[in-house]
Amino acid sequence: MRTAVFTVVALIAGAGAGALSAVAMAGLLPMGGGASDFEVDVDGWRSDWSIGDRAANLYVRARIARHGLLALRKTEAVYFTRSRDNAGRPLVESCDYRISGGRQDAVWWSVTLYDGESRLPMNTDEALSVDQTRVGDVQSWSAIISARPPDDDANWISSRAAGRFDLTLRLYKPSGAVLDAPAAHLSPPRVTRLGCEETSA
Amino acid sequence: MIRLLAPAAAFAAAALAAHFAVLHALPGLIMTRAMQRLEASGAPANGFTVAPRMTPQTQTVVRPSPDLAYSICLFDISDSPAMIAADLWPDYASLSIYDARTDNVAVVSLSGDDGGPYTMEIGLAGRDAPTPGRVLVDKPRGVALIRRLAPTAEAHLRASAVAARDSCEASAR
Repeated sequence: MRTAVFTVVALIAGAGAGALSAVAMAGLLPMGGGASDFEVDVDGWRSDWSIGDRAANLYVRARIARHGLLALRKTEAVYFTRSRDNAGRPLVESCDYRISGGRQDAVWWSVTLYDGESRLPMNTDEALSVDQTRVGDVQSWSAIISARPPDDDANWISSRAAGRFDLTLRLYKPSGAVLDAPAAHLSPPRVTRLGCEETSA
Repeated sequence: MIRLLAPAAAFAAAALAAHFAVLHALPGLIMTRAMQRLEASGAPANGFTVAPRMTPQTQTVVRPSPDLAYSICLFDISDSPAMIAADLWPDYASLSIYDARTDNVAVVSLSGDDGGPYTMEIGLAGRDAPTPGRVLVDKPRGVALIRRLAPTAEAHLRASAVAARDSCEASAR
């Protein structure tokens, strides 16, 4: 009798542990993470070439469904995300950054800021992204990421109400060279911290 | 010690089964919930909805691009295939089909200057024959999504006017 009770309890506990581990390994818990066989990382810009593809494993499928639903397959668009600056520090609303880069080997590109819930941050600044058509010199461009507009007429991505955030670099119709050898052919924008608000005790 | 074997085996078997059952079900569940949200926001079955310009206040799915004009059709081909027609757009534009498991089943370019329209039929695998211009999906419900590059308010207005002519409707079998 006691063994039967233990077995039932073990079944329930096992099912719970299995479900929780699935959610964790798919990167759906707040702390992120997750498993992937197709991960690409170019200077901190991370992507997954199996997004939108039937070849994606179960973990990638679950993660993308949660954080990138209706994403395109890689021949149409690739999505790179980073949540840290080039010094490895988390991107946070209380700090200002400069993002700078060069020409991207794609038909069109953009950089967009998302909050910790993968949403556009809840502000009304109308400065959610920069893209190839508005950035000025596409060979050498930059933008300020800040919760306040820059003093000059620099390109601006607003981080107001974003808390801890990340950036997504979209390349639409990337070249075959980028897909074949991203480390050699992607021009990864640099994210440099300029300063942070002082916090009072 | 032997008495612990049965509970230990039960724990391992249940953990393994639940792990893969949850992983397998998650994309479909998330897609279903997203489609329900879109329906609740007024998107009809088998008809395009031109989304408002993506802002923090109008976003309905995660990670929308504020630089794109979106038109979305929740297709339901339970009874018959659906025919999509969409005008071309001079900048980047695409039509993509997602099945109920979130797979990007098909994507075609809508970039061009001669107006169009481009047409595509969505059929059900196992019921409808594969033909040129027809994309087959495994389940009857899914999403057709058109993206048109429109990074300014003015461009979004023009894209919305073009998108108003897009159609997504049940076709005769």
